[in-house]
Amino acid sequence: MTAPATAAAAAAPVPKTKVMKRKIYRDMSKCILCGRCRNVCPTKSIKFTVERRGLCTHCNLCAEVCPVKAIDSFETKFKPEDYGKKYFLTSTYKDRVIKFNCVKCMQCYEKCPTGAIRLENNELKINKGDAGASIINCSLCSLCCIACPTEALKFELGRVKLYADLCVLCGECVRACPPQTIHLKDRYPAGYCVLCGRCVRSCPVGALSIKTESWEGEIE
Amino acid sequence: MICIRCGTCVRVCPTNAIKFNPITDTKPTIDLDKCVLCELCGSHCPTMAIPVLWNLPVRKLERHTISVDRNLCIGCALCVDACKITLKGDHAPYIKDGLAYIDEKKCIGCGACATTCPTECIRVVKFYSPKVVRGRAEEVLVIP
Repeated sequence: MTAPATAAAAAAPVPKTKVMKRKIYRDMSKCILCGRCRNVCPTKSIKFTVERRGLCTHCNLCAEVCPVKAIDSFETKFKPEDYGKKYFLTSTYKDRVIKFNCVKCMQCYEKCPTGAIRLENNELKINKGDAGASIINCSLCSLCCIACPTEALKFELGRVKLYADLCVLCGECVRACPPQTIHLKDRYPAGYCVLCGRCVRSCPVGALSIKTESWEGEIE
Repeated sequence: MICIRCGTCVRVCPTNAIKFNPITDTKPTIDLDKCVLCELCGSHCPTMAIPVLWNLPVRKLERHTISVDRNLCIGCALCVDACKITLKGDHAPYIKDGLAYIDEKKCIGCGACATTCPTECIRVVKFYSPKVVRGRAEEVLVIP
């Protein structure tokens, strides 16, 4: 009795009620646009875009990397969730300057996510303003794997894997990517999320987490 | 917000998981076996009826064009009924001498009339800002 029952079950599979996938979830109400996750991502799958480059997002990253504390940190003066996001709340720090004890190690210049620190007359200066930045992760949609003609990119165990010996360097995955995180690095595709969780650990305010996204296929 | 039956999600879906017959169905149906959770339909939906917005931001419609091929029009007035859902009673298409015309001042470019038209004589071209989201439908979306 069991054999025909299983055969019937195989012939008519139960339609799914839910589609689920594990993804990196970014809580945009907490994100301070500091770009730390972008810096630690091993596959460069996090895209940081600014409307206007060269303006401060008040992420406090420069104050943290400074070895001689030449930049005022507002770490103890605000709650972690307040800084960065609220430009007007931090407007008392719009006069934030780099003090005279700066040793010009250029750490802040390198780490600034928007390039707001500039070198002028042998002195570092910060451009004030609101950069209008946004951060987009790889959404693990596996469209790159569907677009790949040689199955060099595969979606296995919830991660995107690249089999580099099969890759023919055609760049179809770059064209298919909706969040535009995939790019060609040394001619091979890069920028797909491997769910390593480094970005989750690097986030100072806990905006990132690995969650299971599910959708019942409902349209209101 | 509620679904306005515009059919944008059907055009956008890269895996053809969304099916919609505008004359018989009230809403698009989704084949969950094919869905890969890419969220393109959610980011394109003009009324946010598809609530999946984890990674992609909402796309902005920059401009649109709409045209009616009156050699094919049969004057069925289904486009008028389709538009009444979007504009809440008001309608941009109207029937004059048995043929459809479109009031371009009222039209917001959702594409509901073009999806409903049984002879496919209405054509809507949507132009999106290409900066943030790409996917199969890049900057320009043509309905139907």
